[in-house]
Amino acid sequence: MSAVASRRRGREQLDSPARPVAAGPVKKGWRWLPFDPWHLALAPATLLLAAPLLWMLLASFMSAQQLYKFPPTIIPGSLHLDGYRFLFEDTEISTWFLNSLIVSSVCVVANVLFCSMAGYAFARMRFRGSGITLGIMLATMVIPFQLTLIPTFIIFEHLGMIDTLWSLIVPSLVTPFGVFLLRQFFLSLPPELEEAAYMDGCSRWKILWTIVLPLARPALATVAVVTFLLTWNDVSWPAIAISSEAHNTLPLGVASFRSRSEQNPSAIMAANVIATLPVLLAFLAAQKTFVRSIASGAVKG
Amino acid sequence: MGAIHLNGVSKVYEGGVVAVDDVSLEVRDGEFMVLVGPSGCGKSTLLRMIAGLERVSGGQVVIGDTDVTHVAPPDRDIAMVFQNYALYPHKTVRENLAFGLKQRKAPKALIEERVADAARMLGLEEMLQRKPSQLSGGQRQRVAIGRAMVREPSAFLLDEPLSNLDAKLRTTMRGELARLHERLGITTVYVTHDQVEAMTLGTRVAVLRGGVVQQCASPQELYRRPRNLFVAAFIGSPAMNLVEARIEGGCVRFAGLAIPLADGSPLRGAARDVILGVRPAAFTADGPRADEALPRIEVVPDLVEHLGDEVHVSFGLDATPVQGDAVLAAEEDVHATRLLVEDAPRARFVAVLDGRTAPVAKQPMSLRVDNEQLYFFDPASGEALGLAAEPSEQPAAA
Amino acid sequence: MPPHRRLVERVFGETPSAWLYLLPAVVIIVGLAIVPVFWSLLLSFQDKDPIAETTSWAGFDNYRELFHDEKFRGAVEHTITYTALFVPLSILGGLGLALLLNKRVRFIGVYRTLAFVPVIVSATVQGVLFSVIFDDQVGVANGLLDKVGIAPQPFFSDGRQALLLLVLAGLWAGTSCISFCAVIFLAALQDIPRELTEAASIDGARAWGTFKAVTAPALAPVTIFLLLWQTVQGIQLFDLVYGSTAGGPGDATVVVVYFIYRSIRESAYGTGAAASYIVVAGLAAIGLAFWLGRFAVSRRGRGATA
Repeated sequence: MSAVASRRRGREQLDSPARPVAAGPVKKGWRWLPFDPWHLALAPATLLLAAPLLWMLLASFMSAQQLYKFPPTIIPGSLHLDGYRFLFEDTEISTWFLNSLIVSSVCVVANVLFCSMAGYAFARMRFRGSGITLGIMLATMVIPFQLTLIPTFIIFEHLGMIDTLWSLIVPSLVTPFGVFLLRQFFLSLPPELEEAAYMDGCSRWKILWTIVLPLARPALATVAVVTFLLTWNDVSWPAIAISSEAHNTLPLGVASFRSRSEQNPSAIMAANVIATLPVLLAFLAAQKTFVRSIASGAVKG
Repeated sequence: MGAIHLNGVSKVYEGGVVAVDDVSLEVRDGEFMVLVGPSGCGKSTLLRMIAGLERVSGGQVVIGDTDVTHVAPPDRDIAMVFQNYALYPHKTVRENLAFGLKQRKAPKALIEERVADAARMLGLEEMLQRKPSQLSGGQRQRVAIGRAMVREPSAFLLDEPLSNLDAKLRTTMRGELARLHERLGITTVYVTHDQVEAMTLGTRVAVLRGGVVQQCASPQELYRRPRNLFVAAFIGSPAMNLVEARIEGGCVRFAGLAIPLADGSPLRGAARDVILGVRPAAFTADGPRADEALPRIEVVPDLVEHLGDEVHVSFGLDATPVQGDAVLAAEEDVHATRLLVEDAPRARFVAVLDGRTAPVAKQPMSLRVDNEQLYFFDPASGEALGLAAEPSEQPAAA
Repeated sequence: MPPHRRLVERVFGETPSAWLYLLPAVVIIVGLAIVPVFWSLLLSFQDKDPIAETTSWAGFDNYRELFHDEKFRGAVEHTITYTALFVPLSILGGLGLALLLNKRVRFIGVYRTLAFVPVIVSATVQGVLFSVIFDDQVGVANGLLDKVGIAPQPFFSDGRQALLLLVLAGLWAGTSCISFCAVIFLAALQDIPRELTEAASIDGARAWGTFKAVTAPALAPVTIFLLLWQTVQGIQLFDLVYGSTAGGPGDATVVVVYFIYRSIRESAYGTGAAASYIVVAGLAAIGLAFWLGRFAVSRRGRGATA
């Protein structure tokens, strides 16, 4: 908290005397600096935000003695791989990883497909009850999840799916957010394209697949990214639905692993790294898409 | 057979808005029919009903010998070119051209052949591998037309295909479209709001307003013998000069002027209020070469525009300008010549004179008026007066 | 049109096949969102005997019990404390960060990457990570304090400090952290046409004037969105607790959702459902206050610092 406050103070000190509009000239008093004075605020602020993660990465290679030290040190010669070794030899982390991968990828594919279908119907088809149905769907976006928690648990118990991966997959097959986002995107496409395809002899279904979806790639990427992020990181519902070790997802496994082995912090950090790595790599590979996807959450607001 | 018959076709939208009102129209086989009118006149809706993209609320659409009123668009054997071209952005030009035939499961060899033919005819051979985003406006336009061509349909439907091009390209493409139609001889229905396009392209032109066909005739006929005030004001550029006038004693009187009616005019014996229409080209500058037999008027031009071959001279007359909603509707949408400085309720006239004359603004000059080229309309109904006496021209004359 | 088609259309509208496209979405959303909402309400009035497997009508008993339950009141208290600290700090921090990241300086791409990475970190990982960093025995945080000469802190083994650390962890990473707010604010900042700020500065506005006249009004809608969003996120807090303290020490960090989680684990469905409805009533009250607030304040944006 203090860090946040000090960063803000740092910003304001720079802010009030000189806030160049656009790439305006550097104001007097800062000329002696060989670089833009904004770096003095940007560098510490962003490093501070990324610091815990960097430490996490370092710590996964530390021995228990190094862990306590500040500033954090690892001598390259003494990289400790014990954490990772322990993780792969003595825990079921590969199962957890696989579980997470199955749940996330099934949900991503299902969301892209089902949200496209529903979004397209809402955007382009005229049918009775479309307005009300869309309204109800949007309203479910603001239902706090604890409200549905218990009945959902009972439903899956009756379906015999509790404590299986199905209980994690089924609720995330379609998200109202995705339906709404794709509907908006489809509305922004010129209808003449679809009419032209219609006159060329395409059926509705074929128009959706050959004309609309190829054009909707950016929106589909957003849906995929948001779904992946939410399903990969989710723990509230899995914590309730899953009870056996073998069906743990990665975050569940990491949490349960931590409570069991307080004595092995580097292994815990290694588990954290493994849980974060896939999302991190995806983020670095498609940062623009990620940032846009996250920001698109506010579009509806 | 590629004739299209519309029998009492109507379109009523939810909420009772009538877009097309009981339109009956025949497009003959091989004809180039232009639907023209201000925006919102129902021309596009009518075209989309022929295409099958819009449901018909009443009446019949017949293509060839088949009633297609309830037939889905792909089964109507027609092709359409859209205003924004509607090229598939993720497909190459070749794929765009081939798409329609592919959907119809045409044999590969046939597709290849047709695509190659169309590409050659439209000069697209070099760019078959490109995506639409890499093409210029004119090239996209060609691809859109080519996509309709390869299907070899019994009719083409074109919805304002030139409106996204710049003025110069539009003129070029207009000529190409006319040549293409001549070559292929396929029935074509063409929608535009531009009366110049309508006049230059159409075998016949149907002028629409408020979902009703005002007149359907050859361009010459429309220009020479407009059936009502709206058509008269809509067709022709610069627009016809319109003014309130009175016919009495064989003369038409307005603004203190009296112009004798032409000898054969059926209105010579009448005595009534009319709306007088004078085409800008009916004026000539008075001079040694002017026809002495024509009546002469004195005017003071307040604006002179030299366009090279011709000179546009505008002048005011002390008469009540016609402000019937018909004329206003036509003017607002087509010419958009709203005056920045609105002066007294004086009628403004434009005369188109020979480019060799040299009128000067504010200098009085005299003009001869061809009294054979005067048009008269009923002030209440806007219907043309005195047309019945002349023999009806054959529409295919052009 | 053939008559049989007409009948179908009269019932389902012009494109009846639309319902086939909607089927998966409707099944999932009706089955797992709409039905449970009402079921939950029903459950909150029922009492289930875990041994006899019978359910009986309990009326308002569940609610009454909750109001007298010290643990639940504690949970509500912790949730409110967390939310009251978390929401303003995350929004202000996000705004400051976004204004910084909107500068056009060299390496701004690198800065943005560094600043945005925390969004993708799962709250569980974050909880685990912070509980290790702030471990009272071997945590590196005490190592840092030792370096600067401050006595070691109990951190997560002290109830008060644990709750504050949860706030800090929530601000630092996860889908509602400072970085998330910054992403949203930055998107809105970049939507401001540059001509607007230029016009303001040509009109003689200083930096602060430009901010007040152009930037703040443009940020007002997203600020309201974020206030609501962050509040809802704060009240739904679970992952961090699950990953770090598991409610401890004692019950010092049991928040409402964690309380519900425990009641499911104990098969006390009625209590859990009633608890969730109490929270929703609270949320609805906040929403209503918001709505009334927006109503009362004139349409002009109150600025980003609202």
